[in-house]
Amino acid sequence: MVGIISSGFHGRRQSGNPALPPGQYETGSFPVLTAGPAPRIPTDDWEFFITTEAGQRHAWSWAAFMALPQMDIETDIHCVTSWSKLGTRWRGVSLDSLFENVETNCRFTMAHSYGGYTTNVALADLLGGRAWVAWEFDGEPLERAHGGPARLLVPHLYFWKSAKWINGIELTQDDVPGFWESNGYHLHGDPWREERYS
Amino acid sequence: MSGNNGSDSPDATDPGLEDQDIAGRVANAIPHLDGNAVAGPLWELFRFDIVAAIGRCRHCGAVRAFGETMVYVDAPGIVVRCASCEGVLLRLVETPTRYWLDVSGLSYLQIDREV
Repeated sequence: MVGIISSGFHGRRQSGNPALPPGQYETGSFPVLTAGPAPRIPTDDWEFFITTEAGQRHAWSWAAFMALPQMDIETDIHCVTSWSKLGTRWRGVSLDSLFENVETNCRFTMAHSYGGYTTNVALADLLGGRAWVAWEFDGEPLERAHGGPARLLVPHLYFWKSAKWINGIELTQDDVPGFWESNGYHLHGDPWREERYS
Repeated sequence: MSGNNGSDSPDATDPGLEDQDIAGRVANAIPHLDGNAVAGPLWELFRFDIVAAIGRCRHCGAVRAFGETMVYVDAPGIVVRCASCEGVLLRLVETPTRYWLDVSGLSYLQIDREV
């Protein structure tokens, strides 16, 4: 079978590097993968929301978001198209901070991006110091092509879960497939278990 | 959902930027191709040339040649968008065992018969 998806990114396969999940190779670049045009969101217009099953809506303006505790994160990232980038440096707000006053019984969420992209993430994967809304990469404001002004960062899952141009999180009772999950990709996406496809 | 306005002009600081979908430096560009980019994969599946086919966008109603679509290939799958409204017309994912094809963004395709 001829491969029809051309991600355009190829690198030397490496083995024996314990930082690389199965089937991944290391890249020094930062490939831009996206399912559509990059929306333009001035920070004056940007907001981040969390909605609950009870109809409550928590929202932060850019200024309110920046006033929250900021964290520096160093982490490896793993794209489902097989590249991994090790030791990336980010700055952002922990989802633990954003969920601090949110009451819910839901176990699942849907991340919504400006531009319409969605991805489902279990609430447990967003909490416990494992997920952030990141606005800085490598000491610089996050470039628009990489999701600026802010993107979700869930580095322990394949990077399609780290939604660019993040707008908000909707709490859901059920695990509802998002943009890629509804068309062949895994609901969870753990790179160490190679949860690529459904 | 707001913010996806593909009709924006390029930044004044970068008037030569061909990709109007992205501000700032050329290195920021998110490239897209036209409908020819998906012709090969769809030929492999259906054995017809989709480029000349006429399709109707379910989102905005535009009726245009498939070859005019915006195709994003640097992604976990191929995403074909309407050149009028940028809505998703078609998604194609290849896994090791199957194809996943979503054509729910097209209300019809009009395909010429060979005569």
